[in-house]
Amino acid sequence: MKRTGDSAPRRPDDAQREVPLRVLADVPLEEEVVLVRMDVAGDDVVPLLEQGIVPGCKLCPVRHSPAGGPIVYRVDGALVALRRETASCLCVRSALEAAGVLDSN
Amino acid sequence: MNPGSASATLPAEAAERTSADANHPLVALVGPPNSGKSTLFNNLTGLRQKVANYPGVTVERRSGVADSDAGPVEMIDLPGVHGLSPRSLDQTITRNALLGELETDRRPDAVVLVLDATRLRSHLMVAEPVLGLGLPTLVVLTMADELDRRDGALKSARLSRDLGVEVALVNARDVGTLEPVRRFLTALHTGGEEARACPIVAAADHLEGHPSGRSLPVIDVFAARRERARELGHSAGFRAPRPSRFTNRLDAIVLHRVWGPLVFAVVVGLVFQAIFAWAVPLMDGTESLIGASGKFVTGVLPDSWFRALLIDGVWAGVGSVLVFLPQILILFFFIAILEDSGYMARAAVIADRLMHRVGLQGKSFLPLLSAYACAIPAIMSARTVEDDRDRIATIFIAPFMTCSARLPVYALLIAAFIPAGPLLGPFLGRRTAVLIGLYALGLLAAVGTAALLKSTLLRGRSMPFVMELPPYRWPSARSILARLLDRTKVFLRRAGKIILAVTVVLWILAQFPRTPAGAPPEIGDSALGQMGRVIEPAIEPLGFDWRVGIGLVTSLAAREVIVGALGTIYGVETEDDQDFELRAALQQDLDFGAAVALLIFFVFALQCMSTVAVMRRETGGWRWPILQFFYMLTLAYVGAWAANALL
Repeated sequence: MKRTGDSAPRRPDDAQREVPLRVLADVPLEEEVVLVRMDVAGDDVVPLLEQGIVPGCKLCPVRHSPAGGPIVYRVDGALVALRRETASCLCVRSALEAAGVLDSN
Repeated sequence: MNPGSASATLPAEAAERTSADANHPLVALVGPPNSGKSTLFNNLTGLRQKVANYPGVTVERRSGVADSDAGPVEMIDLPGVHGLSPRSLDQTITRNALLGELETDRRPDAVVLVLDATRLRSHLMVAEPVLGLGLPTLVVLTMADELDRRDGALKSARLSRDLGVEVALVNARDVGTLEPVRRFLTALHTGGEEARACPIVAAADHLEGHPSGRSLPVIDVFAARRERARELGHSAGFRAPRPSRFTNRLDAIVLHRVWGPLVFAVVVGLVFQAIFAWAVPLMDGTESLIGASGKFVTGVLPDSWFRALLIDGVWAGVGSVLVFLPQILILFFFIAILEDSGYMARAAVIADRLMHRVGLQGKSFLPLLSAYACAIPAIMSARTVEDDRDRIATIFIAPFMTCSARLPVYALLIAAFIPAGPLLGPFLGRRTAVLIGLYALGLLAAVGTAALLKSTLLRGRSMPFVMELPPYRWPSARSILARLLDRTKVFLRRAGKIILAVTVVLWILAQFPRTPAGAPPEIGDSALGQMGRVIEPAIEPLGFDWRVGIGLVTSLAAREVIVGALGTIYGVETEDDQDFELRAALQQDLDFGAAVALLIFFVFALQCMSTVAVMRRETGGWRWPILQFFYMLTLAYVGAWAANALL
């Protein structure tokens, strides 16, 4: 599986401050996170990129749909629904934690 | 394309359009889906629109004429896209249209780029490749009212300065705010300074696989574009609007774990109720109108072969399809409301879980719902499913959904063979139960086929399901009316041609060979009757004789044709009692097992040449339509044989 994003070399002090990445599917509702890496294979990543889901963007889960269906995220002012399995391929960091590590919106 | 040099090779219609419109500036409307592009197009062109297909594909080409102070401007509404790479059919068409590489259109003289102001940062990502084309461009930022209402902010003059082209902040629904767009259109005639191209084209030129440049890894292209969009937004003082409270409150119900599925069930139930109950008076009215006009023409024309062909062939055949127009329009009316209001995207999210279990996805829900009216628009709307395997699977199973053309056949056979009476007290009658059973059987076959396809021929990893949920909005009457007019034209053109051809051929086959006295033969002695006898041995195991055989052959063109054909074959002439007499004739000719076999045959068989033709175009070849035709025929034959043998 191709890994995309998160390719910039880190300074040692960054690494010390760094908290482990989480997958987007595990983020509780209303917690804002920053996308760090996309573990999505090949061209499958394009539909996500086209919706503005690009490393560095902010995402916030706002709603679970019924019966374990897709999760609705707020991305750049829009609502976008992603299946849990897709959200599990997106590695994120809390927006607050990321503020010092990554350029945020 | 250079219109001057290439016009000799253009199709006649395209050449005519190109030369007729060449005097007016041609402006292309480009923008992401849900940006308000089509609303702007409708408000600029009114209802003076033409809908056609781009050659060889079913991507619709919507064009119209807008007025400016200096004269008319030809406008084309290109498909909604997020970029100009040839990754999807819509993007390929848009890219080729903008580069002037389409057979049907010259290169646009200018571009109106429509972006949603509330989503400025992600929508500005489309701006870069479009501005890179070097055409005079107006950037129209829609949803100005929404941005304002939700405390967003933006300095459009600043953005205009940074982009180097005019930027207009408008509300696409409010004609009063569209003055800057009209000024831009006027400037195309007068050479005014509003119509200018972006001065900085080099940065965008090599992105997204432009033929002149090298290609970058896709993630880098988007990351670079997002960074530039972020900078532009920052410079223009963009403040993102707060989330819509109205949308938030409505989503709390519509996507609620209990209320959500209930709302979904009510909406689907309402659509069905409208198609099958409320449409009936309109369909009856249409039928009466067709009958009355036929009688009028019969009275006016002298008795001749031409009158017989016109009335018994053309009027009866085309009329049998026209009857379905109210039903299809009601379906599209609901689909337009559901789509424009923003609910359809939520319905796709709710349906996704269920559809995913059989290997499909939520976006397949809309095509499959449409297929209950007619498989043709359903197959066309499957274009919204981006994943190619899911799209083919959706197209493949759509004809299993019980389309309205099956209803006249079901109604006739159920009335003839299933006695009326209660099954579950006052709640469910026997005939209704059989009808529901037939619907369920079709659905079951669709689900089973989808699962089979996705585990064999279409096995593989599906693309991620990414569904944008637009904010809820009141649908606009003008936009709905424009869509219904589009649909009517498309349906009449598509259905009219094939039904007309088939009914004329059938009529001719029933007229020959003439008797020694020069009269038309008995149906059994006609060329049509002889065809029936040829296929009789093949359908005998199903309990059918040559008469039903002819009916089945005729219904290959379109299912509902069998009712008219059987009427002709059994010599039922009295129009008022047509149904009753046909029922009696069928009761004599078919036993119960054969009648059920005929019903089962109609549940499964792909008897609709228009569907086959549309499928060939949508799947880009004959492979899938041929496979589907024989797959469904096999299911139909085996199912009918089993029913006849067991009952």
